[in-house]
This record gives sequence, C-alpha cells and structure tokens, in this order.
Amino acid sequence: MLEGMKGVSSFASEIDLAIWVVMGISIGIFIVVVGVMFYFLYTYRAKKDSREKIKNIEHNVYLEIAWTVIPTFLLAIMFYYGYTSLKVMREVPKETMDINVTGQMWFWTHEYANGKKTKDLYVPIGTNVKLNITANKNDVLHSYYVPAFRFKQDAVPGKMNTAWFNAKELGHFDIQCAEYCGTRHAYMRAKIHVIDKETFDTWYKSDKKTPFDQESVATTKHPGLELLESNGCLGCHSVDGSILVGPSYKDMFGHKVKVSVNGTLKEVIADEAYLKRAILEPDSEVVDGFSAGMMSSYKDVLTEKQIDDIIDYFKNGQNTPKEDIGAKATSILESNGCLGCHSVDGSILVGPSYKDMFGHKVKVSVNGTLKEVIADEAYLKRAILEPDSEVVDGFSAGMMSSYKGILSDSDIDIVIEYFKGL
Amino acid sequence: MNTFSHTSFYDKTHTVFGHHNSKILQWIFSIDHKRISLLYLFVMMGFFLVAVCLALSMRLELFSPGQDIMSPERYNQVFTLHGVIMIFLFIVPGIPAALGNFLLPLQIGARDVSFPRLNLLSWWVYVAGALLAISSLFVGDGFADTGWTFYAPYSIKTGTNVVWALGAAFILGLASILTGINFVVTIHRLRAPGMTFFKMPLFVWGLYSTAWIQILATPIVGISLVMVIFERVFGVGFFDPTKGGDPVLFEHMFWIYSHPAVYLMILPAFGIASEIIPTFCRKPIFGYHSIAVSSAMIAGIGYLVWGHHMFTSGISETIKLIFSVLTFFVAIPTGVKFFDWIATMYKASIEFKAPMIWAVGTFVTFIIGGLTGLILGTVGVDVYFHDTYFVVAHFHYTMLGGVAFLMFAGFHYWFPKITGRMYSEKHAKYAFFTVFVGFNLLWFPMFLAGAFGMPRRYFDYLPEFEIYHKFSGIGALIFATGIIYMLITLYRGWRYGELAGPNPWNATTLEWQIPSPPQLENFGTIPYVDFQPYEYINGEPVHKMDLGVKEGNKDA
Amino acid sequence: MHNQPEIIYDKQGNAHVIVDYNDDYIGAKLGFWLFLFTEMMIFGSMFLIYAFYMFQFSDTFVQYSATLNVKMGGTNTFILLVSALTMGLSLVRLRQGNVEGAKKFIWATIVLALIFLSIKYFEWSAEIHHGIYPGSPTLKSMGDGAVMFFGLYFVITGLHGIHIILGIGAMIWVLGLVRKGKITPTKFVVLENTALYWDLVHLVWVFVFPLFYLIH
Repeated sequence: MLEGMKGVSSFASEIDLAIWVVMGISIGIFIVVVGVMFYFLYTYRAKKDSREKIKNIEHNVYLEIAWTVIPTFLLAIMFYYGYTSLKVMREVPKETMDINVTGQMWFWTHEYANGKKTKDLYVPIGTNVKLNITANKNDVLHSYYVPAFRFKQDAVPGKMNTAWFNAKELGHFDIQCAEYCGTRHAYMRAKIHVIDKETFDTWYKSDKKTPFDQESVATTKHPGLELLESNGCLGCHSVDGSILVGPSYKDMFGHKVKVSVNGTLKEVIADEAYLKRAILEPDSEVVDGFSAGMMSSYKDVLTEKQIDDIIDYFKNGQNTPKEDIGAKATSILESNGCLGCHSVDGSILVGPSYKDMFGHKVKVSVNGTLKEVIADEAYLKRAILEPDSEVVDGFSAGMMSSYKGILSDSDIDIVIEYFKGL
Repeated sequence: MNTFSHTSFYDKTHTVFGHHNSKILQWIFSIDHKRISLLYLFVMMGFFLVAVCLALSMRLELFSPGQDIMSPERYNQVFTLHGVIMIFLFIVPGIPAALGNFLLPLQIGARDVSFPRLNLLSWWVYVAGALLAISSLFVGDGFADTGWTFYAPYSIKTGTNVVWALGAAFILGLASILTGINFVVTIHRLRAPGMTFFKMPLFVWGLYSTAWIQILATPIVGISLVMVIFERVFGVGFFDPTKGGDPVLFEHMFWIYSHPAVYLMILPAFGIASEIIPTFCRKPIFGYHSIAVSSAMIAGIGYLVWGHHMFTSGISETIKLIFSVLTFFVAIPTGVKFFDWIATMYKASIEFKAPMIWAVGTFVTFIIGGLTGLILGTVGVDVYFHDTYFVVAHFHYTMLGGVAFLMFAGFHYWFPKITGRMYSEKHAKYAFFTVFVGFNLLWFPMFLAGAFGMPRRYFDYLPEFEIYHKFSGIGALIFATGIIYMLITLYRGWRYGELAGPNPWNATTLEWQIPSPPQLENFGTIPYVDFQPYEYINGEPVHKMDLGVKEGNKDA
Repeated sequence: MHNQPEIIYDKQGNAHVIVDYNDDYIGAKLGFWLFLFTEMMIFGSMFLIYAFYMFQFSDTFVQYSATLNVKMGGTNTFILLVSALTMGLSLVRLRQGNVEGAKKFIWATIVLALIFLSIKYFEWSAEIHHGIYPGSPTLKSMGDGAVMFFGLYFVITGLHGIHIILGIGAMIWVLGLVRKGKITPTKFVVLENTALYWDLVHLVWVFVFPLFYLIH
C-alpha cells in the first residue's frame, strides 16, 4: 500500500509548495485564457447583424507586449520555485548515513556501511540519509521513486547517482521503480521503514535480518535461500513452482530439463555441474521456453562458497522449512482474521474448516448451480481472491470479502502450502 | 466519382511508370500529391485504429488490479506497439504527409510538390517500414517490449525483436526526411509569383517549420537507433555499460530528436488552427506575423530542450536548470499563438461549424496539456512527477488532445475540398462532443493518479489507484465510440453527402478558389498573389477568384 | 511537359514565370543540399559520440590511435582528395560539352573509390586478424577505452565505407543516364548532385582521418 501522501522527508514541504505554486499559476492561466475565449465565443457568435459589426483588428502593439511580458514573468516565478525545490533536494548535508542502493531486475538491495544487506530500507527517524544509487553493470535502468519522500533518482548501470532525505515521521513508505525495466517492472517494489533511533541502533548492531524479526534468523533459513533472496534471484525464479521470468527452483534439482544450446535442443540433468554453469554462464544453455539474454552471469557476484550454498539449497533445502511455513501461515491467517471464521481443527464456524480441505472434493455453487470441484491450488486461490464466485455448499455468499490486494501472492502461496499439510 | 461536373484527380492521374489500366495501380503508383496524401491518410488512419484498439486492451487490463486479460510480457509489448504505431506511423507523418501533402501545393498556388516521384517513394518507404514493424509481431518472441523510447541497455538485453522495430523506426524516419526535403524545396521554389513568405497561409508556415525539424533532427534519432541495432548485432557497446558505454548518452541522442519531434507534430496542427479560426471568425487573423514567426521560434528553441526528459537521470544540476529555462522559453511563442487566436475572436462573427468546434475544443485540451507541460518543466516538481501517469496524461493532452484533435479539425475543414462533398454537420458535432467527453474522462484522472504516485508503464498497480483506472477505462470506451462515430459520419458524407462546391466555407486561401475535388495539376490559372492570405471585409473574402480553368478558356 | 515557360502577369502588367516543378534546376540542387544536411547530422551525431568518449577515455584513445596504420590512412586520404578532383573535372568536362571526357573522369573516380575500398579492406582485415573487432573477446580484454575507440573506428569508417559504395553505385547510375542521353551538357544536375555527394564523402573522411589516425 502506498502509505500516506503526506510528505515525510524534510524537504517534502518545499516540493509541495512548488507544486502548489506552479499548479496555482497554471490553473490561473487556464481560467483566464479559457474564460476570455468562451466569453468572446459567446459574445461574438454569428447573429443577424454581426457581420457589419466585425472589426478587422490585426495588430495591437501594447497588447502583444503585454501577453509576452506577463507570461514571461509568471514563467520566471515557476522557474524560481523549480530551482528552490531542486536545491533542497540536491544539497546533501555534510553529516549523513550512507547507504548503497543497487537496482537489479525487479529487486532493490540496500547495503549499509557495516555490510548489512536488506530488501527494504530501515532508517532512523530524523537522520540525514544519503543514498548512493546504482544498478549492476549488466543490468538495466531503474528509478528509485519514493512518493512520500518526493524524490526520484534513476539507477544507471555503472554510474553512481545520489539522493538524500531526512525522514520526519515514523511509518512505512513505498519505494517503486519509475523507469521501465521489463516484465516485472510494476512489481519492483520495496518499502522504507522509518523507525526510532534506538530500535534502529539495536538492530544495526545485531545480526537480525530486519528490525522486526523476533529472533536471529540465521538459524531458521537456509543460507542458500538467503543468498537467492539478497541477490534478486527470486525476482525471476520462484521457489513454489510458479513461473515468473525464468524457470522455478521447485523440483528442479536432479530432474531432467530441456535446454537449447546454440539453437539446438537437448536434454540434461539438472545436477551440480549444470546448475553451476547456469549461474555462471546463463546464456550457454537456456531452458526451453525461456529467452536468452534475460539473466546475466553471476561470475563476479557470487563466491564459490555461495554458489555451493545455493546449490545445496536446491538439493536439500527445499524440504526443510515446513515448520517455518506453518508459523508464517498461521500468523498470516491470524492477522487477517481468517481464523475468526475458518477453523484449522475441523470445527465449523462461519465458513468451512481448513482441515482436510486441500486435495479433497468439495461441492460448490456457481451462480446457483451446484458442481463438484477439487480443492487444488487454483481453486483455493480463487476462493481467496473471489470468494463469491464459488461458494461451498451449505454456506452463504457475501460473507467473505476478496483478499485481492490485501494478501500478496507470496502470502497466498504460503497459506496454500500450509493447507496442504493440514 | 463521376458525379462532378469537372474531371477531378479521382478520374485522372499521372503515374510513375506510365499508364496502368488497373485502378489500384493507378493509385499506388500515382505521383499526384493529392492521391499520395490520400494513400497516406488511409494507411495512417488504419494504423491509428489498430493503436486505439491496443490502447483499449491496455485500459481493459488495467481496469482492475492484477492480471486480467494478458500477461505482463504481452502488456509491455502492447504499450510498445501502441507507442511505435502512434508516434512513427500516425502522428509524425500524420498532418504533414496526409493533409500537408494535399494542401501545401494548393495553398501556395503550385501544381504539385517539387519532387512528385520522391513523394511517392516516401509513401512506399513508409509502407515498407510499417510492414517491417508489423511483421516482427509474428516472428520469434514477438514485438519489442522496450517502450517506444528503446532505452538502452534494456533494448540491448531483451529477447524480443527489437532490431525489427528499430529498423522500422529508422525506415519510417527516412520517409519523414524525404517528405521534409520535398516540402522545404516546394515552399522555396513553387510559391505562386508574388507570394512572399509573409503572404503564405499559416498552415504552410507550420509545415515549413516542421519540415526543417524533419530534416535536421530525424537523422540523429535514425543513427542512434542504428547504433542500438549495431549493439545487438555486433556488440559494439556505445550504450552498453558492461563495455564502458553510457546508457545516458542514448537518452540524450534519443531526445535530441524526439523532443523536437513533438513540435514537429504540433506545428502543422497549429497551422490548421490558424486556418480554421479566421475562416469561421470571418475576419483576418490577429498577429499574422507573430504566429508565423513563433512557429519558426518553437522549431528553433524546441531543439534545445531535450534535457527536460532527463531530470532524474543524474545529469548535472546546472544542465537541469538550463534545460528548464529553455523549456519555459518554448512556452512563450506557444502562448502568443493562443493569444493571437483568441484575439481574432474579438469583435468577430463566429460561426460554430464542426471544424470550428473541433478547434475550440482542442484549445481547451491543448491548454491543459501545455500548462501541465510547464509544471513538468519546473525542475524540482518534475523530479516528483517524472515517469508517472501525470506525464502520460500530459502528453496525451498535447498529442491526442492537441495534434490529433486539430488533425480531425482539419479533416472536417478540408473534407469538402478533398471529397467534393459535405458531411452531416449535426452528427459531426455529436461525434465531437462524444470524443471530447470521453477524452477528458479518460485522461484527466491520470493527472490525479500520477500526482499521487502512480508510475507509468505499470502492468499492475496498488489498490488505491483503482478508482482512476476505472474512470479512465470508461472514458476510453466513450472516446473510442466517439472516434468511430466521427469516422462513420465522414464516411457517410463521402458516400452520400451533398455536393459542396468549390468554397463551402467562403474562405480566402487559394485552395478554395478551385473546384472541389481539385483536378490534376490543381490550377488552371496560377494567380499573382499580391494579397494577404486572410483578407475579409465585413465577413466576406476580398478576393474571389476562379482559378480552376485556364485564363484563355474561361468562356469555353 | 511544358515546353513553353508558363507566364502570368500582375496588375501592373509585369510578366512572372511560373516555375515548372518537373524541371527545376535550382529546386533539384536545393533539395540535394538539404539531403546533405541530413548526412551531416548523421556524421555529426557520430562525431558527438566520438567527442563524448574521447573526453572520457582520452589517454586510451591517444594510445590506440598510434596502433592504426597512418600510411594506409594517409594514402586513402590522398586518394579521396584526388577522386574529388576527378569528379569535379568530370562535371567541368560535361558542361564544356565534352561528354566522353566527363565519362572518363567518372570512371577514374570509380577506380579511385575502389582502390580506397580495397586499402580499407586490408586495414580492417589486419585488425580483425589481430582479434580486434566489435564484440570480440580480445577487444573486451583491452579495456573499456579500447572497446569505445575501436567501436567508433569500425562504425564510423564502416558508415563512411557504405557511403563510398553508395557513391560508386550513384556514379554507375550516372554513367547509364549519360549513355541514355538523360544527362547532357545542358541537363547536368544529377551529375552535379553526385559530385556534391562525393565532396561530402571526402569531406567526412577529412575529419575521420585526423580523429582516428593522427591524435597520438
């Protein structure tokens, strides 16, 4: 959610002032010009005797000077406000907390001075933060756009651009990508979390992933998965079998895969050697159905050890986080109020229970006619996003509202994964 | 078409390869500027409708959040194709190649353009470019998904057929250059004796300024696009950061052309307005010289403002300020034109015929477009608005609500000259109001969405923007209905309309002094032009001429 | 089409000739000059890119400029200068009424252009033989500056080479027109424009040569 159009950065008020001034002038000009035009159109419309009243005026020096000089003056005002609003945005204070921001296809990475890397940005309130924004050399243009902070800066591969802000309010604010960067451009989102200084400091010194984590994460997550997250791999490759831009990681290891090598198709087994090649020379063997040139080599990005970690994750890691999913899903179901109506133990509340639901047949009414469907992933997704399209027999429509836009795709996937085990 | 009392250009023509029996060959090989202009017109309007359909499908996809009718990849291709068609196939050739081709020789008292065969060649080149663009849809990964701006390095990396699209844009640029050369030479060489530059109709002034931009700016984008082709084919690396190239350089090269290009589109449109306003105000235009010179000024300054597309790209602060100042400078001559038109309405006797209503409606939409352009030219504000829906709304208000609307105004104004018949005034007005309402409903909400932070080229959006997309979607449908309505009205006028006669609007410029539709080689007698283009006394043209027949043959 | 010039009279009775669009010498030349403007904008943009990267990698540019073969480049410059002369002379001969002389000079120009191209061919093949061509791994290993220098070198000289080839084509076409009698001592605008084009081609080379060969 785009939280708050209220300006949050220290210079937001200057930008807003400039916006109001230039908009005010523009609206003023519009009303005057269009007003005069419609007045003339009405007054001098063709009437019986209007032809005789026509006056062939072709010049009026004073008038022409006036309508050159007055707009110039108004434009000068607009320019002045453009200048002042640019100045506050571009004059970086001396004392700053520096954060390196890297854009890569559909993912932002924030790197703090002490090496901490995060997906979202966490900053203490009232601190000057300087962002050094760039994109990987082998990536494309992006633009770091924070509406609530009123600034935007392109991330240009191979170049360092700067931006700064000083957040004056606590809260969570959206980062969007404003420079078209391909398939998942619209989903290249992150957040800036403005938190109080103490929380920030404690977190900054700790080894927690985010200030909101309850405990150290290092233990629960597979290191390979973490690497996949922090290097933006998950922007294109899913871990749940869904197809984004590249093939999914799910059930990949050890399975046969069709790849095209220089245009000819062949079948290989996704073993360690293959996966290493795929990471280091992604275009040498492209999985059938996907395009070459989308992924750039991670040769200088990942170390040997990191690649091993990742491959280990493909090999062994995908089965482990079951409990993790349980915990996550429960918290999603709880915090969204689902458990108020649906039980997990088979008891019937307002809606059907989640227990023994997945994979079983269920009778639903579609527009009044009953039919039987299997509660598979697609069905459950529909049930969450358009609950009234198929209502389980015995329950009433209109009780549940759509969770479209409330639950993210990944939340829904976690929840469904959880249902599978119930 | 044999219902006219004279032999019009529909009956008789010159072709490049001598005589053909086939009617089709007589058209596609004709070197008569009037036929070529109609060839352009039909191909162009065909593509316009295709691009409108693409736009509708985008609006449908965006009507609700999430994926509805197409995948993100498809969506990106659709908006690229929409942009490429609208820019390179519709609006750049639009007024000059279609209306300009028809009217330039008529308005300056010439029998044709300077290079009729080159004129036909440029149409063929245009068609070749169009075919290349379209054929890439059916090959490999389909049409480019880069956006019509082809920004590197994405255009170097993506797997879609960027080379085809770039090649097409290059070829279309070539067609545009050829037209520009033809027009400049025609205006310099073939004006009727006595017609000095400051006795030319203002539409010709618009075409003249435009032609210079076509000649001087198009080669730059042409070669930049070729550079991108070289990047993809040979891996040269000028814009590829992995090889030391600089993507921002591409942005510069691209906008050096593409910003003047918007003036290239709007200047002849302003010319159309300058023709329509005096005709329906029944009086000489106010400030003829300032309108004429301001066209040239806009063309000149328009060259030096491209950097305002790059305020967030990391160029230096000084450069940003310079480009901002220059951007504001363009506004002054543009403003002067509007003030001149409005001053022409003072003490006039205004007839609200369809062309006039289109022109007035355009003034409203274009002023909105122009003023929001100033907002975007204000540096600090643009940093916030850049690449949001605010920009999308702004350029549709100028390009669609300015250029295309004035083009439609021109269609209605010169329709009787081109076809020799009249459309239904009533339906033309209804069609206008449908288009106008739809247009504003379609685009105005986007100003708001953009101001609240909706970036452009988004396949999906946050739920708070849904309301704006809903309004836009409904507006788009109304708009498209209006366009269809307008085209049907014009079609019916062409088929079944009443004969219009040579000068239905009682206008003053030379094209109205010959029969409608004009004959081959336009004029029987070429007049000696020692008068201003818009001379009226009490609402009546001062000079009434019959230039359709040869001086000596008048009695025969 | 109109053999007699069409004449109209103003109110004072002064005669004014209507320019015949089918046969307008000045118009044809004006149009061609405009075309040359577009060519200048194309090469101008390339020189702009050159300036941009020259500024960024000036040391590398100087360093690799020294590796180019000045002798070959210099010879080519000389050849083009001479060819501009022969092209000009062919126009002079034609206007003097000496059609055969004009043809000979056009042939001479074509031969010189072909020599230019073959020298260019040897130069390029030497470089390609050393593994230096756009997108080659050797070039990439030499660093960003080298990629840009040789990228510009190949693109600009290549673009220029294409213009030479087009020029040769134009000259052969002109020869055909001369044979058909469409270019005559009184109707020579096509040849004149071809000569103008050839001047532009050699003028561009006059800039290209020092920018690549002589900056070290």
